[in-house]
Amino acid sequence: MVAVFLAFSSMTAMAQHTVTGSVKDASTNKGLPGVNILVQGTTQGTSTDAKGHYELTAPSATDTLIFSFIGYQTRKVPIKGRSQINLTMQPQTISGKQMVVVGYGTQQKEDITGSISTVKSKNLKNTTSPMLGDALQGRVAGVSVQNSGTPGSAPKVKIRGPSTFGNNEPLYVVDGVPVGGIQDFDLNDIKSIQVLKDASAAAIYGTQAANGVVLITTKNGQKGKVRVSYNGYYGLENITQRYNMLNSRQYQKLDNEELRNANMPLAPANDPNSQYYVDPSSINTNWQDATFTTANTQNHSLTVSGGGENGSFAITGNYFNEGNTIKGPGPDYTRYSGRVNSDYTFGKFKVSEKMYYAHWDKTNLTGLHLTSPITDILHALPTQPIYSDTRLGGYSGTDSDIRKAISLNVIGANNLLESHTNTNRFLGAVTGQYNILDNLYYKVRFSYDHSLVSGKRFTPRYDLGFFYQNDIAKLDENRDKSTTQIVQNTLHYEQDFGSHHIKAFIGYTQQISEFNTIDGHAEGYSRPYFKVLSAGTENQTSTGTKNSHTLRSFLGRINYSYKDRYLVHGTLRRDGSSRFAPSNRYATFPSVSIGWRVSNEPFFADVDFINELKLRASYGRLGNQDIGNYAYSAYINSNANYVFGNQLANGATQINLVDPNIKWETNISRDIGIDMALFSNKFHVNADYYNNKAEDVLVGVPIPLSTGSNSNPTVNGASLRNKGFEFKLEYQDRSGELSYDLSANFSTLQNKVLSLGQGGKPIYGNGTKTAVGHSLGALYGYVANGIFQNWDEVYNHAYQNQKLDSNGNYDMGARDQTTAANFTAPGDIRFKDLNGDGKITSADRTYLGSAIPKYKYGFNADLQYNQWSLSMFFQGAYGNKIVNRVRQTVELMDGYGNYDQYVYDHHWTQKNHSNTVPRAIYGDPNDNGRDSKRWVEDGSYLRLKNIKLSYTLPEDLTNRIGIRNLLIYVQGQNVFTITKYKGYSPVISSVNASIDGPVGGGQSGLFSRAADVGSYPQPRTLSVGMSIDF
Amino acid sequence: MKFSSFKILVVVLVILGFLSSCDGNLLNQHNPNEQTTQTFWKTKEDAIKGTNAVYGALQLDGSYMRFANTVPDLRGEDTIADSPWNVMTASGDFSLTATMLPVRLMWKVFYEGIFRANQVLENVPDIKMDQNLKARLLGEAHFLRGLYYFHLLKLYHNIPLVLHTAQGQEDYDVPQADPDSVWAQIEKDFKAAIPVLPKSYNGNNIGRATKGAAESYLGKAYLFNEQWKKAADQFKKVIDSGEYGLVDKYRDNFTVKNENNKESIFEVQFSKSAGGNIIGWQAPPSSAWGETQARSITYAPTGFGWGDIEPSRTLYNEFKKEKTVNGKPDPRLRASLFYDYPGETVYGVPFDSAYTDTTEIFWRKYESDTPGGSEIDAKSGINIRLMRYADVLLMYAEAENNLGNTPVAYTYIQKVRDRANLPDLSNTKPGLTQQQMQDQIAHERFLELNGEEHRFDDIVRWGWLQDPQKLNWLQQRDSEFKGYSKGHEYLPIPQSELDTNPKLKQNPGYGS
Repeated sequence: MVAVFLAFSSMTAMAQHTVTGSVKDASTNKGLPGVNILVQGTTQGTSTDAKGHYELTAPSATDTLIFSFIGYQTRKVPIKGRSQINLTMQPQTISGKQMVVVGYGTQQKEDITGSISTVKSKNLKNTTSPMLGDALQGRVAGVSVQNSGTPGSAPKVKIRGPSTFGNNEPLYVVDGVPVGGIQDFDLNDIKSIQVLKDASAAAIYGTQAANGVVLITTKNGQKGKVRVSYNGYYGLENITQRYNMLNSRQYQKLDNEELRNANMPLAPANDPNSQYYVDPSSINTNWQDATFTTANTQNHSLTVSGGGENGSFAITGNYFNEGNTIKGPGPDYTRYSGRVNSDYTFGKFKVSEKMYYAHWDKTNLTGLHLTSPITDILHALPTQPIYSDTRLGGYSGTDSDIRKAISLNVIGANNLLESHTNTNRFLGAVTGQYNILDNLYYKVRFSYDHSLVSGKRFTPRYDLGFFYQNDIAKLDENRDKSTTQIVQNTLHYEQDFGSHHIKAFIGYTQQISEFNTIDGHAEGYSRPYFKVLSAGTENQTSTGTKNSHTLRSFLGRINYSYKDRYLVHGTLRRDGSSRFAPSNRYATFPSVSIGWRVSNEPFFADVDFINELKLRASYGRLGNQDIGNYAYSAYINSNANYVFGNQLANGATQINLVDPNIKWETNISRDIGIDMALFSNKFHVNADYYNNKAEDVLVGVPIPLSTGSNSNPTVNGASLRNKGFEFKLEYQDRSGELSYDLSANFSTLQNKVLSLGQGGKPIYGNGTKTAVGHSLGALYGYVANGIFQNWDEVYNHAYQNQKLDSNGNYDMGARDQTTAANFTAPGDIRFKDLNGDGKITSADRTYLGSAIPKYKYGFNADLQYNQWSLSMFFQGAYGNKIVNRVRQTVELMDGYGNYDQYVYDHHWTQKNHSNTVPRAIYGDPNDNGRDSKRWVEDGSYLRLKNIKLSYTLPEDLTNRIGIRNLLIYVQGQNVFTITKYKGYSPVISSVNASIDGPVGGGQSGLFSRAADVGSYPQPRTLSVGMSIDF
Repeated sequence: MKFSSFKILVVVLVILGFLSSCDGNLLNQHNPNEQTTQTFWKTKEDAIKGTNAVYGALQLDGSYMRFANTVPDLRGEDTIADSPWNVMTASGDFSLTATMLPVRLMWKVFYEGIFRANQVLENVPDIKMDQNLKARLLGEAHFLRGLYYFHLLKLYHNIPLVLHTAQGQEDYDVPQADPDSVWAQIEKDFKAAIPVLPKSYNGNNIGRATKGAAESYLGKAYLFNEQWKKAADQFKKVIDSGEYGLVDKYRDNFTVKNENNKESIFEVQFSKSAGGNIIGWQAPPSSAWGETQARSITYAPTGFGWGDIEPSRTLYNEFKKEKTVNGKPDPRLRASLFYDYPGETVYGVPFDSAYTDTTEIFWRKYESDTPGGSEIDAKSGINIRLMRYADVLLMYAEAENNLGNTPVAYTYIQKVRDRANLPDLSNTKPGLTQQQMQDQIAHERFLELNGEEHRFDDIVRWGWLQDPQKLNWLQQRDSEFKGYSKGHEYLPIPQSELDTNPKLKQNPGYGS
């Protein structure tokens, strides 16, 4: 702090005292515009001008001035009769007294003994996604994000690896309120994000914290003048990658070859001798180019905020829209949201409220039945036009007997079928606080979270060819309402006893959640379509369900420190959940952590290049109860109906086996870490080693279908180990006019399944296997070992599907075309007989790599030069493998649709004795397409996730037109990706509900994480934007 | 806001905070949607519903909604696959692999049916209710369990025999049973059903298993095991019961109008009007599920459905060999197939304007053939006749022929031929030897029961696949048989089942 006396106070009137001065940034020594200055105890105040100067008249020369500015430490300066006060303000990022939001309170950064990562709000702005998960990607060591490129879909976030087989999303807590699902929230509102990664930080949310906790604090007003600010951007999105698919002539040639090899008649459309022959020069559709299109995206946000001595407020409104990169009405996502935050203090009482409302509309990409629409785009026949006058609906389709292909016209499906989802969500919280004593206060918070999801799907009559026809127009509508009410009572205490400092709280909370669904259906609509249920003429039906879940918790925490050197924190939480049988309802989750601030030791005083050195360690238990409701009791399905006498006959029966003894999952978390600040606080290092063990993990033990059970009973059978290192480095400095902030994070994850329950039976996913001793969802399949070049090789190899004689021996003489058409033959893949039993069986499958990267990293550079700033953000992963299911589809040469150029050029023929790509044959008698190494690819990548160039207009220019600050920028997202992966993107979302998910219906994609089943490719976005402060 | 009112607000908040914390029953949340196993199986109604659910397994995707028709049919030479879906072609040419959908689904749903039957057999005996009704319901469960095991045995041959619901982990992995012991259990279940099942039902009970159904299936089980005398005895009981007869028009067995007629001994019930509207392909049943089958769309002529499955040229040609006493084509041909002849229409459209290639032939059997309609909603309400009286007559003839009573075979074959107005076999082919009569029965069954999932069963039990001459003959009749190799008369055990049950072995011929 610099305070300079220039002169004795001048002769001013008794009651009034005028002060002038300037405020500068302590690190850059530049004037700070817009700093709020308030006379304590009054509403009188001002703010600094463009150069950081101010002038203020205070009621008296003995008043105290409060200087505050977002991102800087607030300073209180008594006037003490001075007429000029110049001072500098410390940015909070490198401040000594930064407060960090923790569960049920805040804590000084220095005192933290757990593993907590903070995401800077300025980094949140460097994304053109509306989803929090996208903004976290690559920013925090130990956090993995799998994003889908589909507009409006929430990315999947995991902290320190998968610790459960169910939902692995962390608990999100917005302004102290645990919320389910974060996709409705506006990033512009967020002031700070803390990621709680270990038990010491997260155990206070015991019951829901096994996957880590993300604390979100929203912006409130600052004391001082009312401020208005606008932020917005407009951008264009494109899917730039392409698979190299065949043109019509090539497609016909390969398709004919494949049918000839199977001794089957050619598809008439590909047979030059047929009357149905399609001349390849007349139709040659490039479906990727025809389908992908440029989309718009835009975001506009307006904030009004302000405050006085006893209260503050912030009101925000936001509009976001992301259009579709695929032709048709969807996928498209629009969100409107508004927030009002305020707080009031009257003496010992304090009340605050946070109200948030969001409405979003999503038009969904509509596919039909078989695979992902993305795969269908590739699969579509080039000999098929897009439009057709003769088919109902106006889009072309294929006839099975003429084309011998299953080919979906994605443009047709996406335009004909309508699917919309909209959500209205309200989250409101009111908090009351009463300061009983100076060091003791009581706090109560009520929150109500309500969301209503409405879905509507209309299927008109259409004809899109074989398999894709619909003769009865139908409408489905659903309303899903979920509500959560939470009451939190806490009593907080803080006191110094000499060198001892104690901070503690105890609390009681309870939560009631309900979920109700209503679905309506009607059919028989005729043109003109009135798309309401009452207009349906047939089959009007309705269904509905109700679900409720309650939680009761007792919690407490104590933080103790001695001489600011030795820190001990302990938390305890006891939770009761309605999701378990009465005998297993309650569980206790303790944690303890210790810290040693070595740099505060007297012997460390001489080490001047180290500003801060702290060693810390933590241990604790976290719980998970996210297993769905009523899972401990076997229920009767009362819709197992039948028909007698042409009337519905009600049937009821148990269809699933359950384990009534299920109880909590426990995640035992251990962490040791070091925090350092070096070289005048310019260089920061954080490092952690963690070793977590998830126990009693609920797993849907895969049981034989012969039990008759429709689903796998959930038991507390599995345990998992996740361990790894996390590093974060940051260097901030300036050199002349250039200031820079470089940061990097790096994390490793080793995941291992320790047990799987019921004899450790493995769980098979989509080309994956989860087994004891291996990582979750490891890739699994056969080893392709070259191609049979001749019949001798075929009959000298282990049994695959060679022709057998009536004694069951190889029919060695069978070497003709008929044999080749039906059995293993030259040109087929030779699979390795790993167990050497002379037969290729499922026992010859092996592990083909891990779905989990060996390490993940992010690198961020922020450079500032005068009015210009440039930020670049790279992120990537190394060492994981992907099963490219999309490539498996287009390289199979098995007759469903179009093929990839690569197999056209390289496949085995009598003349071209390839040793990598097998022959083309319809029916694939050797099962060349089976899960094997052939489809496994390296998923490592490095991506320039974001680059942003900004220019701040000179202050003297903007001030003239009454603008405090005006910044314009151009920004690019997903600019380029360096990878060997051959698909659209190595960043995949792998949900495949029909195959995946022993717990809770497979929402997680966990067991098939490695499978690219046709993920929506993430677009490249280029945008321009501005932000204005008035 | 005044200070005092502000204070009141905070005090109210605090009081509310405490009050809301005092609900002692907060954590007792019971499923408001469904009964649990603790509350079910208490009343007569529960017993009836539980038994109805056992029938429900007949309608699922792996059973008679689709795959239990298509897979066996495609394996016979009366039916060929003409589909871009490899599951169809693979069913036809014996190349179904352990990971393919029908292999898994058929296994799944028949065991679901067994699970449901076992629940009835375990829980209903303890319910206090009318003893006759209880006995009947238990008989129905026995019959259906026997029927489901019959299917599993025919399809997979080496199967676990599960007769009790699993109580815990130790019950999950059941090893494969000796096929003979499964046959013994099937016999036992049908025998348990016969004395307690009524001869017939009326009203809202039509479609339940009857004594005649159980006797017919018991006879069929004996036939499959070449226990000719026992088989003949059962069939004779059915014939002598007087409950059954042949309907005048052959096609009345395959339309929605003439369901549960006097020829029908057991049929799977479907209805387009009952139930909801969602096709219950898979997943847990919901109230929105319809009660329809997708056989019709799968077999439907191109343009009116998927056309995945077509009658073979062999079937058409074999029909052409028969002429009625008036020298006309066998009426069963036109009742079973669409083909081009003067006046032929397909769903009301003249054949030669619907198809430019007039040599095409399609299935009419089980197709609605409604003028102006089609099957493309994939919802057909036509019941699938599993056991027809005509089949019983032919099986009886076969059993008697094998017992050396070839003249009896003449009599009963002719009953079936008479309905088609075909000439008397004792005039046209008198004095057939036992073997010649067996060949004749094969021919009669081929025509009468075409496209009804029987042909491949017959081929297997007659040992034709092991007879090089017969196999060669089949390959001439249906080139799909060129894909047959030893062991493939049975399906592979589903890979997912091998993965989850270490006690299982893959079937011979599938790499094990």
